This record gives sequence, structure tokens and C-alpha cells, in this order.
Amino acid sequence: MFLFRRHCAVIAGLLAAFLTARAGPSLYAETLPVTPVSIPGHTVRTGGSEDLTQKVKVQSYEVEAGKTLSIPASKPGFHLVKTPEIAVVAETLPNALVIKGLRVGETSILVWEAEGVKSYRIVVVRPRQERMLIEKTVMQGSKLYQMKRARSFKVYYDTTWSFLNEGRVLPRATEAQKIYNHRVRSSGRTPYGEFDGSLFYEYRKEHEMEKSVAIPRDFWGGLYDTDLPLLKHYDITAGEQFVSLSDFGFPGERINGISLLPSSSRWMSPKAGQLDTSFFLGAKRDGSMIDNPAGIQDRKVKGNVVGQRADYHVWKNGTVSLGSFHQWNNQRNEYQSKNNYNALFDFRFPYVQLKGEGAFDNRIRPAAQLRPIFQNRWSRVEGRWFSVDNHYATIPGTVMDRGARGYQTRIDAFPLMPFVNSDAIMIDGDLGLVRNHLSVNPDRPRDYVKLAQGGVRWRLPYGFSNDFRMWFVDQFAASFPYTQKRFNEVFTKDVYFRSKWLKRSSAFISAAYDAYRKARNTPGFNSTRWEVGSGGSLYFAGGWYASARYYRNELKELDVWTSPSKVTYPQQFVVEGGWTHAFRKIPMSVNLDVRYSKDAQTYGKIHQPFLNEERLEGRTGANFYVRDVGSLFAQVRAAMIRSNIGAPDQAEFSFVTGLQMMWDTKLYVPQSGRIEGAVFEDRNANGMRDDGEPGIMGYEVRIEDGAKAETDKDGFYSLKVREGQVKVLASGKLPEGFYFTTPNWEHIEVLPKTFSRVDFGVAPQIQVRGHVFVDVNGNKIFEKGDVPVAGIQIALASGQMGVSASEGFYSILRVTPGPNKIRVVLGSIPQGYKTLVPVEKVFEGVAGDVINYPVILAAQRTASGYVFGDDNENGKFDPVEKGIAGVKILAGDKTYTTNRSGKFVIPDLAAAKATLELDQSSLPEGDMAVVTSKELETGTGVFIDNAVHFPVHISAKKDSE
Amino acid sequence: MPKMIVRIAVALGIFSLSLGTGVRAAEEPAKTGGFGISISPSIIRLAGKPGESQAAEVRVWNKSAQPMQVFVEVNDLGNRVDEEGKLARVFLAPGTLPYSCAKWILLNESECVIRPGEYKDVKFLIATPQDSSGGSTAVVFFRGSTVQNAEANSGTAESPATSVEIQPRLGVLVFLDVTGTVQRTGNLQDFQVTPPAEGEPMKIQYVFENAGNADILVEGSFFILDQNQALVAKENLNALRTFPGDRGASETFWDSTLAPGRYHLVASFELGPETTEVIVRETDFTVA
Repeated sequence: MFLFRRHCAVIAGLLAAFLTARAGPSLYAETLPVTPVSIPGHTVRTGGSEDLTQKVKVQSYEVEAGKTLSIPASKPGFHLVKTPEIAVVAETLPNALVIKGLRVGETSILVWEAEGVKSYRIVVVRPRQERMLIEKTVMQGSKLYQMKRARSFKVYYDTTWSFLNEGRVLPRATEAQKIYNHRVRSSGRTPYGEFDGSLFYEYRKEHEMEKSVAIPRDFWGGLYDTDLPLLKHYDITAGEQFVSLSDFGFPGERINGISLLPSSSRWMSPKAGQLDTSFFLGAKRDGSMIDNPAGIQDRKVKGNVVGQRADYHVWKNGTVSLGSFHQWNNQRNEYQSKNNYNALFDFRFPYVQLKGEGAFDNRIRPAAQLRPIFQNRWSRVEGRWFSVDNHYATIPGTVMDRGARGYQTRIDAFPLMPFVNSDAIMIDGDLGLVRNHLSVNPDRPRDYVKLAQGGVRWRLPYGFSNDFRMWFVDQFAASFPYTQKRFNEVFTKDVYFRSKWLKRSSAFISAAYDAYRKARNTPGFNSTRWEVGSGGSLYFAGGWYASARYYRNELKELDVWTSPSKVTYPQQFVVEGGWTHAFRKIPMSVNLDVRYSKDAQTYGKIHQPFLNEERLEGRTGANFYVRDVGSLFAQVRAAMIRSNIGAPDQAEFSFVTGLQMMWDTKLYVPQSGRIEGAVFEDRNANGMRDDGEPGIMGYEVRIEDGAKAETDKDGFYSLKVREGQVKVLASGKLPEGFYFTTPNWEHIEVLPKTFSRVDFGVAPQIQVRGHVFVDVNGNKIFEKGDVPVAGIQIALASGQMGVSASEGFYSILRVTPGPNKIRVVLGSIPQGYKTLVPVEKVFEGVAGDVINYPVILAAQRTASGYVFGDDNENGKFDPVEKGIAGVKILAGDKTYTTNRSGKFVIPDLAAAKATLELDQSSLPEGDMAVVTSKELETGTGVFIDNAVHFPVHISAKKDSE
Repeated sequence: MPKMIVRIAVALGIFSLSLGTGVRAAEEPAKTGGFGISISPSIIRLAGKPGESQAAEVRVWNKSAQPMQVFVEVNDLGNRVDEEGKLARVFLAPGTLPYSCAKWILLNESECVIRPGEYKDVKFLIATPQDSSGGSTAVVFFRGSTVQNAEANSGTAESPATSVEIQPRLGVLVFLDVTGTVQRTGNLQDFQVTPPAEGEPMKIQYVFENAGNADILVEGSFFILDQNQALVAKENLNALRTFPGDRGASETFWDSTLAPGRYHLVASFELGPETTEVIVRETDFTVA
């Protein structure tokens, strides 16, 4: 029995632990004298009996911190609060409990009511406003929210009221105006593009003319960066707009009409073979971008225009274009053409860009230009060769360089950058050789106007900086011939302070030389001017500043008849001070500025550098703004001007106030995105789709409470989903024997017009399982009396392992189909046991197969001993006593015979109980067995008894022999 | 001399290889002192339908000054009953326990190298079988080994490697509830109160049997009222985490004094997490 118990303990292993746990400890219970304790509101209980234990279902409630909650109750009496720091019972009513939340957390309350004990779980949450603020903050951080916000329709309203009075204060009145503007603009993103529209309405009254006008000044609306089936990334606009499509073909015209132009995103990211179309149609409109506020414009339309341009991208960075432009019903002047046609190209290569344009008008007069551009990290050189017919005309009437031909170059460079990667020195320059046939010096008809100008700016250590520029202009080939040379130098020093009051100072000195020569018949034009100047600024804490500067010139006119003085000394003195401040506690900023300037000895010379006046000017204003809402502003300006050349004194005054408002309607047009992916057979179960892993056809994937789709032959699916948070899940039924190797659902934030990829991997599996038990009766069937065995290890050739559990069962999942081999880990079989089945088995399964491999153990039950002559008749086998050979021992239906030394071995005893019987007849004649039968308690486990002896009394005859 | 690798796994609080203290290591936030690894979170609780698969992620920090090779291992999570009838945590081979979800866990990677002061998010997947129900548990262990030692341990026959290494191991307890099938219920047995006497603290003992099909965290508290119905004491009982079929004892010592007299004790046991059932026990006792 000892052996049996020992082996059972080993075999059962963990099973024993769990089974014994069921028995549990018997806790010592102190017997307590019990006297009822009275608790108000509930029945008095006494201890020591099971009826004191009650199972209560928990009811959950939520209350905000600092607020109360009424819970329905039935005659509530006594109560106990687990954590009164979180919530307390504020009041007990006959039919309710009033709970007050104190701080965020969770507690439970036991209440003895008429119906018995009740348990309430009270969750105290943050106050609603605080939660909303947190939710809002979190929400505002999401990309989807920001996109919605960006797309929502917003309305802007600007209004300005202006009063301009020049000359009213002093007698010389010049002009007074009142202008009242309203501008309403709205923008928002639609599924088809960005909508933007504006209405600009104006009221204007002029005192001098006693006339007022109220008229829409401009009105337009459009869909930008479109997303339409045949028109992706175009800007479609209707209303008033300025259209310009090239320098010579259609330089620019303000029209009332429609236009279709490639959007910037289309133009910036072209593809080879892409064809872009530009088109406009409308009536010509006076003015350029907006009306001139100085007077009442003639807003009449003047004829109609239409134009188109086709851009073909030969390769990604190579574009050729053809355009044609026409107008009709329009009275044209000599500078205006009825039709224009042009061709353009724009080829871009690394470091080099080449573009050009050729155009002609309705009289086949040509205009052309070529622009080579060389550019690298630190320099840019752009050249322009052009030739424009003397009478070339365009539809708007404006022509750049009409009648001119020549070459111009522009250079910009950072010369230190290639060596020390510094932008401390910057140089720029222009060179030009131009002959304008419409403005020719008859003495030099074949000469070119020459221009050379350039400059260098560099930063020096310790806050010094220097700016030097020079010009050379030779206009001798032009109809007004002259030459000019000019040099200018400014040297500046900035100093920053850590003082409490003074923050920064800046000082400069400057010098200039300016010489005009070779002008004819223009008294006073040929001259030489020298200038020196100096000044400084101080910037104080709190936004205060002050500055002063002084310039002195020597202007020497060279024409001998210029009088009264050939040499003058124009001067200017300027002093200025001000204050700008943005308040912290209120959303408001103010500004104040006073400026005084005095010009002296100007005398109205042609090249005198200053105005002829003494001016005192002041400005002040305030701006009150509310974030995301708008601002209110007002500005006042007043100036007094005294002429120093005898003109009448005058004063100016203006007052401008206005309101700018923005209203985010938060309305947006919902849009859709896509969720795409595949359901695939993840053969290596790594959660990713690798090459060669096929898709699974016909599997359902759906959005929770939404659309669904089935995978195609490649396992691919695609779902169109409205923007927002969705849960996409592989909802189809898995094929038998498959399992997911990826999450089969995922939360996705669907953004408009984007797609998210979600793949679902499934892998085939077979399951290997079996039962490990000790087959007590050896019939290889688990039945009553057989013993489950825990802790036996089973291993697969594919690497997985399983261990039999408490009831002897084991299961190995996720086994890849295909050839495999299962084996019992022999080391896990305890001593004394053998297997009744092969210790390994080869199998080949397909997905869904369940391979059954039972491990049947048999306990070793053996007995051995001696049949011996008990010479000393003590009933025990002593080593000196001799065994008797050939004696038969019967065990069940088997017979065993002792060997020469009298030993017998019975290798396979019956379970539970076995009887060994000695065959008396097999003893030598005369011998008599002391014991002829032995009962053995073999049990169900291992039984080994090597001391089952049968003593025999040897006959006296033999003894004597 | 045959290759000999000596590894001493030191059970230092959170770095535990022992069965009993390993529980504590997993349930408490990992503490570090410039040595070893730390993980977050220490408990992952998932809920899903049968057949669903769900992803989980654990952030593993290398708090040491050397690159750390981290091995990821999955075990069953359960309890055994010790000689005193108390429950002690055990970590067994995957699939050993009937309520194990260890065999459903697919690791994205079983080992990785984390540089000093950096972290790595280790992901794994739990693919629930179609026929699953109730709650199931597992533990995912992260065992760290310095890269140098890992390389040193791979010595050759000619140059046998010998190293002594302290390997920190942290576990993340994984609980998976199959939605709609979980029953958290249990029975309170052998509830005993031993009043304080002669310097001995008051002792409250009970045996809890998890009669449901999911893990239960028993969080108890008790209230002591005197004969005037005044609350004299309130304290929490030691928490007890049980698994389906567990039956184990717990005891709490309350080291305080009570004036002689008669008292009424109310103990409540919340069967959590997400408590839906409470067991209320009332009894009287006398302090001599």
C-alpha cells in the first residue's frame, strides 16, 4: 500500500492538489454565547446559524460628485457605507434613499429594508460639465473632429465704416468721404469640393459730389479642388474674378462669368500623360482686382470674352500648352486684339528649368519669350529673352514689353552656403539689355538700354549688419536719354539688453551717392547728390518705443543755367514714438503712434529726396477680439501738414471702425471613406499576409450595424463607410477547422475619402487530443475503476506539447495540417507503469480533423518468492534454506513453476486482489506445504512484492537422507 | 567538462519564479530600481464572443543599463490548495487547467531585444474557440536576460560557457470572459470570527467556493457595531482571487482593540470584478 500511495501521488500530481482542495480545511470555530444586538430598521439576527448568510444582487447607480441621487427603496432602515469618503446616505425617506456623491470613485452601500438586505453599488463620476469638457478635449484631439471642423460651413461677416476728411480742419477742403462696406463670405467642404462664396456690398457717399452709390462690389462663388467624376482637382468659379492664363496670350482680365481652372493640387502633382483644361467665359469688367475706392467706378460690363488652354504633361515635369482667347461685342482700341493664340512649354530637369511662350494676335503679330532657369541649393539664375512686336495687342489691352526685345538676367545667391552652410551673406543682381522700338533715341537707333544693379547684405558678429547696393542705368538708347549711377550703404548695429526697462536698441549710419548725367533739355536733371544719415531706435518694456533719424544731402545741379543756387542741402529730421500693447486679462490690444518730420532746404528740386513739408501725425486704435468669433476695431488718424514751398497748410482726419465676425455653423456634409482588406489563409499563422497565402472567397465582412460585403476570389473585400468610428468585423462563419490569426474585429476611425486596410488571417488547424489513464483491467477501455493520470506529456514533431490535466485529458490546438507525429514523453511516465499503446503515432490530418491518441497505461503488478524447505520451521525464508524446484504456483488461470533455486515470478497479477495457490501435488513426495494459498491486495496501481514465500516441511525421510 | 550553465533565478518580490510570490508580482505595478524589466499593464481583462479573436499589448521597459533579451512565455494560471487550506497561485503548462486560455494565445514574437531605457510593445492574440464559454485565464511571462549572458550561455564544447545570471520575470494576468456566458457566483462557508483576546488580534476566517465559471475576486469588508448600534470599526478583508472550482480559505487579522462587551459584525463579500452579487454575513460576538 505504501508503494501504491507513493506512485499515485506522483501520477496524480496536480490532480491530487485540486481534488484535495475540495475537501478544504476545517476551520476551528469558537462557540460564542449569543445575545441579540438590536439594529434599528431590520430584524434582529443571532449568530451561529446558516440563515445569517444572504446572497444579494447588486444594483448599480451613478451620481455626480457634489450632487444627490434618489434611489427607490422600501422602508429603508439601517445602512452601512463601505467608503463614506466617496458617497454617503444624505437622507433616508420612507420610500427612497438620498445618496450624495462626494468624490470620484466607487463604493457599496448595504441597506436593510423591509424586504431584506439590499446592496447598492454607487459610482461617483465627475460633474457633467467636467466630463463634457474632458470629452470635448479628447474629441477635439481626434483627426476626424479636426477634419469635420475644417469642412464645416463657416460664415464670415466684415463691415467697415470709414470717414475720411482731408482738409476740413483747416480752410482748404479737398475731399470727404463716407464708406460703408459689408462683406459676407461663406466656406465649407462638400463631397464635391471646397465651397467658397463671397458678397461684397458697398455704400459710398462723396460730400464734394453730393452723390452716393450702393451697389454689390463683387460677388462670386466657387467649388475648389473638386472631386467630381470627370473633374477631379479643378476650381470652378462663377461671379466676378480676375483671370490670367499667360504673359502674352491672356495677361489678365476681370470678368463677370465662369471659369474652370486646374486646382493647385492638380497642378503641383501632375502625372505623365495628364491633360489639364482651363476655360473661362464671361463679360469684361472694368477695374482690376477690386474697385478703386477713390471714386465711383464704372461697373458696366464691356463685351464678352472666352478662352481656353490645354496643358498636356508629356512627362511628369514636362508640359506643353496651347491656348486661344477671343472677345466679341466689344469696342476695341488699337491696343486690344480680338483673338490671341499662344503655345507654351515648361520643361523641368534637375537644376534646370526651361519654359517659354509664343503668341500672336488676330493680325498675326508675334510675341515670344524664353526663360532658362538654373537653380541649386544656394543660388538661382533666371534669364529671359523676349521679343514683342511693336503693335502686338491682347484682349485686355495690356502687353508686357510691347515693342521691346532684349535679354534680362536675375541672380540670387548665398555664396557662403556651399562652404560653411551659412546664409550670412546674400547677394542679388539684375542685368538687362533691352531695345524698345517704341521709345528710341533717334541718334542711337540700334543701341540697347543697359541696366546693371546689385547688392550684398551680410550679417556680422556682435549684432552688426551691412547692406550695400549699386545701380548703373544707361538709358542713352531710349527716347529720354540719360545715365544714372547710384551707390548706397547702410551699417546697422542691434543691441539686446537684459534690463527691466530697456529691451533693445538699434542704430545705423548710412551714405549714398546718386549721379545723373547726359540728360538733354531737362534743366536740373543732371545732378550729383551725396547723402549721409544716422539714427536710432529704443524699444522699452511694455511695448513702448522711440526713434529718431536725420539725413543730410548735398544736391548739386550741373546745368549752368539752373538757379538760384546750384548747390542745396536737403535735410530731414524724423522723431517718432509709440506704444503697442496686448492686454492679458481682456482680449484687447491698443496702439498709439506719434510722428513728427521736418524737411528742410528742399526747394522743389527734381532729385531732391524729401517732400516739401513739415508734418505732425498721430494714430491710435484699439482691437477687441474674441477667439473663433471675431473682432471689433477702430482706428483714428490725424495729421497736420505745413508746406515749406508755399503751398497752403492742410489737415487730414480719418476714422475707420469695423467688425469682423466668424460663425462656425458646425454643419457639414457627411462623407464616406473605404475599409478594404482581405480574408486570407495565414498558413504560417504569423498574423500577416505573406506571399503565396491565398485569399478565402465568399467570406462575410461587415460593419457592425452597417454595410457588409463578401470577399471575392482573391479574398478581397471593400466597404464604403460613412465617416466616423466604426467596428469592422469578420462576421462570416469560419470554415471548419480554421481559427483567426488576427483580431477578427477592429475599431476604425473612417476619415472622408480615405481608405483603411484591415486584413483578417485565418489558419487551418487540427486538434490532437486524448485521454491518459491507467487501464486497471487491461481491456484498453476507460471504464469505472480505471484511473485518470495527470502530468503525462505529449509532444508533436511540429513542436507543440500537451500535458494531461486533472481528469487525464489533454488537448493540443493549432496544429498545422500535414504529416506529423505524436509521441509520449517517456520521462513523464512514472516508474512502475508501462504503456498498452505504441508510444508514438504518425498521422496526417486536414483542417478540422481531430486526432485521437489515448495514452493507456498499465500498472506493473508482480509478485515473486521462493518455495523453500523451512528447516528451522520459523515460517520465514532464510538464506541458508534451500529452495524446491519444479513446484507449481497457480495465479488465476495461469500456472508458474519454481526454478532450480525454488524461485517463482508472477509478472502480471490481477488488479485489486490476487490469490496464489501452491499445487501440493507438485511438491516432492512427502513434503508438506505449510501455506498453500496467499491472498495479495494488489490494488489498481503499481504492486511489487518480492517476498511471497511458501515454506515447506521436508519429509523426515529426506532429512535422514 | 560538459557545458555547464548555472542560472540562479532570484525571486525578489516582483521578480518571482516562485509560485506564491509570483501572484503578487503580477498583480502589483512593477517596481524598478535600475535593474531588469518592467511591464504595463499587469492585468489584461478582455471580453468577447465565442469565435472572436482579440489583440492585446504589453509595454515592456528595459530598466537596466544593458541590452536585455526578453523571452515571452505563456502559462496556465490557477490556484492550488496548500496544507492550511489556503489558495496559492500556480503557473502550469498551457492547457493544463480546464479554464485556461493559454492555449488560445498566439504570440507575435517569443523573444526580442530591448535597448537600455527603451521599451517595446509586445503584442499577442487570443483566438477564442467557437465552443468556448465562461471565463478563462492565463499568464504571459516576460523573462529578461542580458544579451551578453544570452550569448555567453551559448558556449561550445571546446569552450564551455559558465555564467551566473539573475533573470527578472514578470507576469501579466490575462482574463478572458466570453460575453453572455459568464456566471460569477460562489458560496461562503465556515465563516468564523475569533474575538480579540489577551493581546491576540481579532481574526476573521472564511472559506469561499467559486461555484461559477469564471474568476472571482472576492473583496470583503466588515463593520462592527456595538450594543448601541454605533459603528465601532470598519475594515477591509484580504482580497481573494479564485478560479472556477476553487475552494479555499482566507483569514484576516484585525490588530485593534475593542472594549469588553457584545458586538454585532456585518461582513460583505463582493464577487467581482464588476460586482453583480454580494454575500452578506452577520454574526454576534463578545469581547471578554
